[in-house]
Amino acid sequence: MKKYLALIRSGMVEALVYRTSFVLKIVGNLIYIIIIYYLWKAIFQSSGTGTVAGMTFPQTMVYLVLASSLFAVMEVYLVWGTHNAMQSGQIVSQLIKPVGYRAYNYCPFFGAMIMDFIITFIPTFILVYFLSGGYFDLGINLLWFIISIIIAVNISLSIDYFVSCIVLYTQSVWGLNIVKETIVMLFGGAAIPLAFFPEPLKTIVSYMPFQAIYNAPMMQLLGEAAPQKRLGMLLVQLLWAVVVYAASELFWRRAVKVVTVNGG
Amino acid sequence: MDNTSIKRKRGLRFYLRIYFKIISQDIKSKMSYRADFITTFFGMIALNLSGFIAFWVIFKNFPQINGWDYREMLFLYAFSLIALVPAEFFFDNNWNLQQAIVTGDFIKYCFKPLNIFFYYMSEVFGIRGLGQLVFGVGTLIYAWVGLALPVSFLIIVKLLIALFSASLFMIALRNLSAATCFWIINGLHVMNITNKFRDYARYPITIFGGVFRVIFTFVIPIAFMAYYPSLELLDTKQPVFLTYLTPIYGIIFFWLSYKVWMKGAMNYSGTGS
Repeated sequence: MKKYLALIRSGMVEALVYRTSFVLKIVGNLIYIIIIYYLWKAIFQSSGTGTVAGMTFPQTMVYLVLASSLFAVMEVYLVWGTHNAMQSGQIVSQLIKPVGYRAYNYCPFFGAMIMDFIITFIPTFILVYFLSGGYFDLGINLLWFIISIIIAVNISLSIDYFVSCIVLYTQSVWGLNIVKETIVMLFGGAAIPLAFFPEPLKTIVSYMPFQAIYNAPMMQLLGEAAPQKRLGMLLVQLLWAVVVYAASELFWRRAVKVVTVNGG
Repeated sequence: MDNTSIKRKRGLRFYLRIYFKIISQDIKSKMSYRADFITTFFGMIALNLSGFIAFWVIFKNFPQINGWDYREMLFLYAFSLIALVPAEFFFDNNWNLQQAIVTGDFIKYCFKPLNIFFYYMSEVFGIRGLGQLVFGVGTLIYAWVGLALPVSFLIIVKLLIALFSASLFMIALRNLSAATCFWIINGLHVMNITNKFRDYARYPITIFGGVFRVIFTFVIPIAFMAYYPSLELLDTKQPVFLTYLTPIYGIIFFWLSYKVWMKGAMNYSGTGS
């Protein structure tokens, strides 16, 4: 346990070293919020009605801002990291570490995410809360929200891990990474709230693991559901976490055998 | 006498010849990684497809945005996609700038008897722009037919000028954000941020109010990347003064980005290894 904590700590410290990148992240986030605010305001104004697909303008804003902020927190460069480690040959020394490759990479990410969460997500959260005039409750739903985020982080990381395995075969990364990113972003609900998706696309998307990354936490925060229903949503998320984890782990065990390092 | 002959050699022809020599090496090396080429191509298609799905989902729920209907918006969207292609094709090496600066590889560009900016950009041909070009042209034709726009020699010339001017803004924005790498360590983050702006170039600038409209018109000029030039091409829209300013401002903006980039390059002192 101690070694994992040390790795998590290293991730937290590393995140603090790059202070400019934090500032840039916040600035980027702010510009993004401004753009989507005006865009969706115009969209809702043009439609003439206050509610579209069961979503109001403030609800859409809160959803999108927080989902994209979560996206920034969860974004890791595991796929690129694996690719670079393979190209430079460093993957060899990572594979013989006394912790598994997954843990060795995950732990610093967890550390960085904790820092990111505190420094970028929580201020955004507070800002959104006040700007939207206290749109959502600050009660028991926060607990559901936090648990949901923790599961979502694991799903997101497992998907990255899975794609990293493909990279070991193709040895090319840009294309695969962008496919992963766009699919997770679009079908996860970070680009457009899933409520807007027309049928049958909506139903199809609801059976994918991606909605468990952004849509599920947002529903826990913004939706008003009975505890049984919330628990059900959490269990679905958990199921996806286990499935994606297992799939990526099995794939990794096969894929790691094809790793060829040219020197290094 | 000698001086003039050197000057003549350094004309456009000289640079073109050098350009094709350098770029053909890059294309050759890219072709040898076939899997990379294929995944990159499909990655670009997927990226565009997901952008299109997002666009389509919005219009499934809302018939129009600020007086722009589905087909008109589709035109803007396709226009912005194509306008990005030259930046992808010819200025893609900007993405490697941070790496080159940090590792010290950049110093090699400083020692050649060539314009640093030219030499640096000519080294990489961004083949990923190809997927975007195919997708963009297809969408543009679809929107063009849907809007029943005329096809004449004049309008094609207008379209090409409009696309060229708009692409200058894309290139300039990329140069400027990459140039930050010369001064700060995390310039790549700046590039990632500005790279997202292009997704919003496809919406009419009229959605922004007050000070932000000014910012997105003149400071971060996403309004010129599709909106203003398209006004001239669409029958249903009236061009405004800024529409005709697009080529001039594009050239100024590009020149500015070139100057800033070069200033950064001149300041570069290497890593000492």
